[in-house]
Parts: sequence; structure tokens; C-alpha cells
Amino acid sequence: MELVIAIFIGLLYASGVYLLLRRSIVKLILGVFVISNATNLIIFLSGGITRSGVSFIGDEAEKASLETMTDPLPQALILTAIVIGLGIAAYILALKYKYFETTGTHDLDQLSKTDQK
Amino acid sequence: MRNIVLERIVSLFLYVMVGFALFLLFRGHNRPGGGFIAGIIAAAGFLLYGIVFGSEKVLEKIRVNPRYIMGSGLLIALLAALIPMMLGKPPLTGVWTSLAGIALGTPLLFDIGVFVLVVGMIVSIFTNIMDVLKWNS
Amino acid sequence: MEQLAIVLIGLIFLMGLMVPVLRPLLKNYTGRILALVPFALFGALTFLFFTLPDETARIVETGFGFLPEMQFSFRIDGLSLIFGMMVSGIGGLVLGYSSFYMAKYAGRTKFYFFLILFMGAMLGLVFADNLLALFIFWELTSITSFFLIGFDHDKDKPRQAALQALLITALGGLCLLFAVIMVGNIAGTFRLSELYAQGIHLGAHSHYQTVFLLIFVAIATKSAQFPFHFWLPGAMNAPTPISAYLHSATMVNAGIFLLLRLNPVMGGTIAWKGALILTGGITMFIGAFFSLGQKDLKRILAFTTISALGTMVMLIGMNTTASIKAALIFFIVHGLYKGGLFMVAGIIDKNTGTRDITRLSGLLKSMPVTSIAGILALLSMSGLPPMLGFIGKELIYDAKVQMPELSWLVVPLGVAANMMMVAISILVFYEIFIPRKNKPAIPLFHKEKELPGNFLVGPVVLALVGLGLGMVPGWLNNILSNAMFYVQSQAVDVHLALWHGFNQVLLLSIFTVAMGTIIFILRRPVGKLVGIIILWTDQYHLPEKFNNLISNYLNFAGKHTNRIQHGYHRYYLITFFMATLLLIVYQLLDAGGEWFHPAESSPVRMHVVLVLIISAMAVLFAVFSKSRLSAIVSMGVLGYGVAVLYMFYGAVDLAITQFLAETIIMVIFVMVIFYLPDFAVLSSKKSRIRDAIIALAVGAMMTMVVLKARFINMEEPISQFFAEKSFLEGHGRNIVNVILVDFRALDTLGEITVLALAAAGVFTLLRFNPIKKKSEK
Repeated sequence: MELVIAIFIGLLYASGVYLLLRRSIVKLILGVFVISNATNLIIFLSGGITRSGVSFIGDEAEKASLETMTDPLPQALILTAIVIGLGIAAYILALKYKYFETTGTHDLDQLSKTDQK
Repeated sequence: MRNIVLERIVSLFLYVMVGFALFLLFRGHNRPGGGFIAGIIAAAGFLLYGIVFGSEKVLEKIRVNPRYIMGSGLLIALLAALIPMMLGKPPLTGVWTSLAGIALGTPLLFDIGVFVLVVGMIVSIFTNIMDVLKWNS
Repeated sequence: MEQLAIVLIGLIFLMGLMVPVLRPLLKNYTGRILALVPFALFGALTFLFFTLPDETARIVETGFGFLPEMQFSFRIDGLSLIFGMMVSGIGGLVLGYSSFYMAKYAGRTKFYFFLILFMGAMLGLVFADNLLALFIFWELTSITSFFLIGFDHDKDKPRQAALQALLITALGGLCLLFAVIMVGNIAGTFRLSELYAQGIHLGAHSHYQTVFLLIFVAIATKSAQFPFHFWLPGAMNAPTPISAYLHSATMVNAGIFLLLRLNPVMGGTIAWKGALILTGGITMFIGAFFSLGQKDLKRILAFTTISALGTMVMLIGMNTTASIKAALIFFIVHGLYKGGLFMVAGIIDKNTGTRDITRLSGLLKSMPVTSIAGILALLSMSGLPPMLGFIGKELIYDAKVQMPELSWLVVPLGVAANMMMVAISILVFYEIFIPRKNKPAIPLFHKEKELPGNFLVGPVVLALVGLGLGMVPGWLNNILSNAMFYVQSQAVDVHLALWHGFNQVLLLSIFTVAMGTIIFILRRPVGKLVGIIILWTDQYHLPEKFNNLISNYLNFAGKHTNRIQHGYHRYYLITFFMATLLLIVYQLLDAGGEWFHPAESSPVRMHVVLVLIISAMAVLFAVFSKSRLSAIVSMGVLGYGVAVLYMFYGAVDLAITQFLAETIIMVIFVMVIFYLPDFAVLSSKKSRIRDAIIALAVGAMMTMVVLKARFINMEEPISQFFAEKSFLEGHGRNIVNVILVDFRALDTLGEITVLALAAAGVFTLLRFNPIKKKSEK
């Protein structure tokens, strides 16, 4: 299963990089989304997917063992990453809108000069 | 073209979503849930409401400028950092008291801060976008 | 009293910063009134001068600084008193003097601002007890002097001179910083008082050579030693009061001061002696030599300063009791006569409109007071009695004759340089002061009586002090013994006298004066010879070489920056990806080991694989789709697919968050994208194929990384700790949530701050419109 997910991640990265290298700024943003999802998956996979129990401590127990459940640490990391991804996505979208409104183009090659017309 | 049934359902749904979010928030320490999730759920409720009624109605509904909500969320979280300092412990140390058998502590306060901030952030973002890009008609 | 002195130094800084406010209030009296503070400081220092017992230093803690161990603390001992009195005394005179000299200049506020800050920086440098504080003040003098030298910033020459001075002294400043850090690391303290008290000497340390080299570059740049001497003549583009101050008591003398300060810690080694004597000797000689060929009075003075600095460096390098004493006295002598001469040059310039010695003449008759002050200073410069300069020169000869192994080298060099000093003094005296028949007296703009009285105070006071100290040198005994104690780290009794008896040294003096007179008589052939040599050296003209070096460097940097910073987003990314690819693939192949272990991996679940296949197809669809909306929807499919994957593997919280976040992003995305144009094929087929290859390579690399990562276990995972403590100490059964709000709450705090910033960013981007505002104006 790890092999399958690893290949899936590789595919996501390939698509993401290809999108990043497009000249259209919309595709660039899609690329950022894809890559951030792929990165979350890497973190998730690094905790190991051999155990699929939920990471809670049972009602009677006082402590849990990692033997039976998914590693909680990567989950905590990803959880914040997702929400931050949401904030960043909104920011990029606003930036893109502003950029298009100001320059009237969505071609990144036209952005190569910092001076405003 | 107004769709009365949709509007009714959506207004009702907003309360359901926010209520569910609060439920998840307070339960989050022991069961699935927590500040981030609850915040996103509540914000999704507002987003749905905004799509149907327009962003002005959302702002009317919450009465406060979402930026202030965001700021107060951050302040609440900071408070959770400061309370242990006043008790002479390192910042963000969990301080717990027990009230009628339920454990209450600064981590819970922190979680509430996160919740408030996430709601404020998403509401602020989408109301701004809807307003500036004229999605309100 | 010590505290008062330090407070006054602070007051000078404050006053400098307040100049923009004060000047409109004080109008034309600014210079004269502000001069009161340095004079007050001078008074306080004079009091200390007479009361400070031998072999003591007073340390003043200010209680503020960067860190507890690195506070600004000040030390008052003989050495800092001598320098501090010169800086404050001459500083006060220069301020009063500029009150008249600068009366018609624009930008006087700026002038006083930087001049006073410069004075404060120099005082701070002199009194600093902490090496780091010393470095900061050292840099401050470089920066403020940059503005002072470039005061006429609308002219090309002063600008270049200022830049040159800044670049060269900043080079030295950097070296000093490194040296100070190294000294601090080796000795374990940055405080001079501790260094002295512990008797630390770095001579035996393995890094001594490096530290010494750095210090040497620092002082050679600051004190205009060969081959860095060329910035000093350029610096005379500054207004004359600045030149007077830079040359006499500050800036270039900072290097001398530093050498004396560090002498107990680093001095006396072979490297120290060799380097300083050699450089000092060369500088002394070429400074005096080049001064003979100059026509501009200020340029002549600038070259004699170089010579004098060389003399001091050489004396310090010799590191005998006699030589250090001579160096200290010579610093005072030089400050007094050079300050006076520059001020005289400024007055003459103002009153005749020229500084060319071939055109000036007969000033003794028309401007007697100025001339007498100038002549007294010239006497001091040529080392004739009864001035303090005579004592200084006698001590220098004495030190050189006594120098054990090297007297055969230093004595002739010193005598030669002094001969030329005598000759140039007589030349200046003869050309500009003496009324002559075959050279018409130059007309004056004003009669001397009409000149504002205080204009003349500066040079006259300096000349009289030089004369007075020459008559009664005993006043300096005490303070010199104190200074000597901290320079030589041994108690020395100093007895100065004008008359030393008839001895070898006096003979040398007489010989020097005689030879100087002969050079003066032969001035025409000598002048020609020097002219030829100057012409010859002009092809190695250092200032120009230096400017070329700088401009070539800028060109080089500009060209190459444009190549790297081309502004095309794609190529930045391609560069980045290729570099990462090469490095990581190399590392992966280098690491070796197994890639995949079928027995260890979890069983393949067909329903998960199905979800993954659907997601993969959605992504591919998004990549090649021409429609915005369908691309966004397929993005959503990917997001939900990943959420389902989280769900299957037990991360419930993640799944919920991912579902909702993905939904919200999609809604916002649709809202924004509606206003943007549809996709268009912008790239050529060729570049698309290239990009696809890069993308596939990166994807393959990531797959390899993910597979490999499972077999690398650097540390015991911390998760077990979380699992055990979550309920017992965090009072929560949802471990993920406890990690977020308790164990790693600081991270979360940072993250929600980022979220708030993102929302603020969205708000400002959408609402704020700078272009519109500009056009409205």
C-alpha cells in the first residue's frame, strides 16, 4: 500500500510542478494546491499507515499505545497545515485578482519587470 | 428570483451548523473535534448563508466586524498563554481546575481562541471577496 | 567628576540630535553656543587631568547596553584623558570657528548635526572601556565623517572623496569587528579593564597573527597609512573646519589611539614591531616627500599629516618607553599645530579667495595676528624651540637613537622626513607670510581688524597652548606617567623639559634644521624633482585606481545580477527544481540500502486504490483542462479523495477538516476566478515537453524520497510520549487535539497568527488601491 501511495504522491508532485511551470497564473495557483495536498500526504505517510485505529484514548484507559493506532503527531501537523493552506489559498486568490485588475494580464512573463507602467 | 424554501432551510441550517460547531468545540478534547474543525464548520455555515443572502446579511447576522472577531480570537489564545505566566509558570503551561467533575483549563480557553479566530478569518475573507467582487446581487 | 564627564559626552550626542531643533532658535550663534558643551567637557577633563593620581583608572558604568555582559562602560585614564581633552578642546574651537566660516553656506543644520555627532562618536571611542562599544563608536566616526567630507554633495569631487574615505575606513571597520570578536573569544572578556587587570597578552596565542593582521588593516585604513594613505588628501575637499578637526584630533588619530590601547594586550611582538615600523617609516617618508611638491596650502598640510601619522605609528611600533612617550607628546604637538594651521589656512582662503602658495604673499604685514599664529604653528611643525614641537621632536630623536637594533634604519629615515618638514615649514613661511619685493602682496577682501574677532580665537589659542606647553612642559608629567602606565603596563616616571643639555640628540636637531634650510634654498631643483616623481607616480595614481576598481566591480555585479535575476518566474522555478533534483537524487543513490520491503508494508486495500485512481485522474484532468471551472471541480475531487484516504486510515479529525476546507476553498476560488480570463495555451509545444520532463523527474524523485524515508529513523518518535501523557497530564482523550492546544500550543499560536495575517492581507489587497490614490492626487 505504501508503494501505491508513494506513486500517487509522485504523480501529484509531477502534476503540481507541471502546473507551476505554466505561464498562466491560474494554473500556477492550482499547482500550489496540488503540491500542498501531496505534502500533507507525505507527512501522513511518514507516521505509518500500518495501524489504522483512531488516535483516541479509550474511556476507561489512562494511556494509549502507539501499537494500535495511527500516529497522532503527523495528524496534528496536517490539521494546521490544511487550515493554513485555506488561508494562503484565499490570500493568493486575492493577490491574483489584484494583479489581474492592475495589470490586465494573466501571463506571468509580463510580470518580469518590477516597475509599474 | 427568491426561493423561500431554500432561504428558510438555510437560516435554520446556520443555527444547526453553529450549534454543531460549538458542540464539537467543547467535546473536542476527548472526542473528534477541536477549535480548527469547529471553526471551519461554523464558517461553512456562514458561507452558505452568505451565498444565499449576500455578504451584508452575514455581517448583520454576526453584528461585529469579522476583523474584530479575529483579533479577539488571537487575544483569547494569548490570554491562555499569559494566565500561567501570572501563576509563575512558563507561558502556555496548562492550568487546570475541576468544576463539578469536569476538567476546565487554559488549553480549553486556547481552543476557544482558535475557534473564534478561524471563524473570524474565513468570514472576513469571504465577505470581503463577495463585497469587492460584487457577488451580492 | 567622572560621571559628569560621561554625562557631558552623552549630552554632546543629544545636542547633535537636537541640532535641527536648536538651529532655528540659535540662528547664527549656533556654533558658538553649542561649543560651550565641549568646553564644559574640556573643563571637567582638565579637572580630572590635575587630580587623577598615577596608575589609576576610573571606570564608569552606564548600566545600559546590548546584553548584561556587554554594557557600555567607560574608562578614564591618562590615555583617554589626553585624547579626550584634545577632542573636546579642539572640537569646541572648531565649532566656534565654523560659526563664522560656515556663515554663508547652505545646509548648516546638516553640518552641525554631523559635526557634533562626529565629536560625540570620537569621544565615545576614546573613553570606551568595552571593545564592542569602541567598535561601534569607531564605525560611527567613519559614517559621520563620510557626510562631513561629502558636505558639498552637489559637486562630484567631494562625493567621490567621501565615498572613497567611507569604503576604505569601512573595510578597516569590518576588520576591527572581527578582531574585537576574536580578542573577546580568546580572552573571555570584551572589557579593557579586565584585559589589563588580568595582564592578558595574546602574543603567544595561535591566532595572534590573524588578530594582529586585522587590527593592522583597521588602523592602517583609519590612520591613512601606506598604502591606504590616499584617501586623506582627498578628504580635504571637506570645508576647512572639518579638515582641521579630522586631521588634528579625531578620525585619523583614532588608529593611533587604538594602537596605544591595545599595546598592553598585543604589542611588542616581532610582527607588531616589524609591520608598524616598516609601514610607519614608509608613510612618514612619502608623506613629507609629497608635501614638497604641492601648491595648495591644504594639500600641503594633508600630506604633512600623513607624515606625522607615520611617525606616530612607527614610534608605537618601536615599543620602548622613550618611543611611547614620544608618540604621546607628538600626538599633542601635532594636534595643536595642525589644527591651528588648518584654521589659518581657512581664514586666508576666506579673506583672499585662494590657497595657492605661489599666489599668496606678504600676509605678515596685512594680517599680523593670523600670521603670527600660523608662524608659531609652523615653528612647532618644524620642531624648533621654544614650542612644544621642539620637545616632541627631541623625544622622537631620543627614542630613535636609543632603539637597540634598528637605530641605523629609523634615525636616517626620521631625520630625512624631519628635514623635509623643516623645509616645507620655511617654504610656507617664506612664500605666504614674508613681504617680498618681487612678489606683490595679495589683496584682502577685508582688513584683519574687520574680521570677526572669534574667527581668530581658534588658531591663536592653539598656537599659545603650544607655546605655553613648550615653556612649561612639566604640567604634562603626571598625566603622561598615568597614560604610560596603561600603555606600557609598567610604572614610568616622566620628566619633560625644554632644555636637555648639549647631547647627540641636539646635534641631530641642529643638523636637521641646517639640512632643511639647504633643501629650502635648493627648493627649485628639489621642487622639480618631486614634480617629476609625482608625475611618474601618477600613473599608479591610487585614488583613481581605487575608483576604477569600484566601478568595475559594480559593472561586473550589475551584469551578472541581470543574468541571474532575469525576472522570469518559470526559469527561477526550473533552476530551483533542477538543483534540488540533482542534489537529492545524488543523496538518495549515495545512501544505498533497500527501497521497498513487501513484508513490512501494509496490505493493499482495493477500495483505497480505487479512490486514489479517481483522484489521480481528476488531477490529470485538471492539468490538461481548458476550462477553469472543470479544473477547479477536479481539484475538489482530489481534495475529497485525500480526505477519504485520511478517513480510511483512522484520522477522523483530518478528514472532516479536509472536506470542509476543500469546500470553502472551492467556493472562494469560483468567486474569484469568475472575473479572470479563461485558460489560454501560452507556452510553445517545445517548452511544454521540457516542463513535462522536469515535472516527471521531480515526481519520480518524490516517490523515491517517500519510499526511502520509511527506512530512515533518526530519532525515537516523540509520539509515544504524547500517547502516554495526553490524558494524565493534558486531561484529554483526543490526542491530536491535546497536541494542538497543549503540548505544542506555541506552534498553534504561531499558526493562528499566520491565519490572521492572511486574512488581513486579503482585506488590504482588496480594499486598498494605491494606484487609484496616486492618480487622484
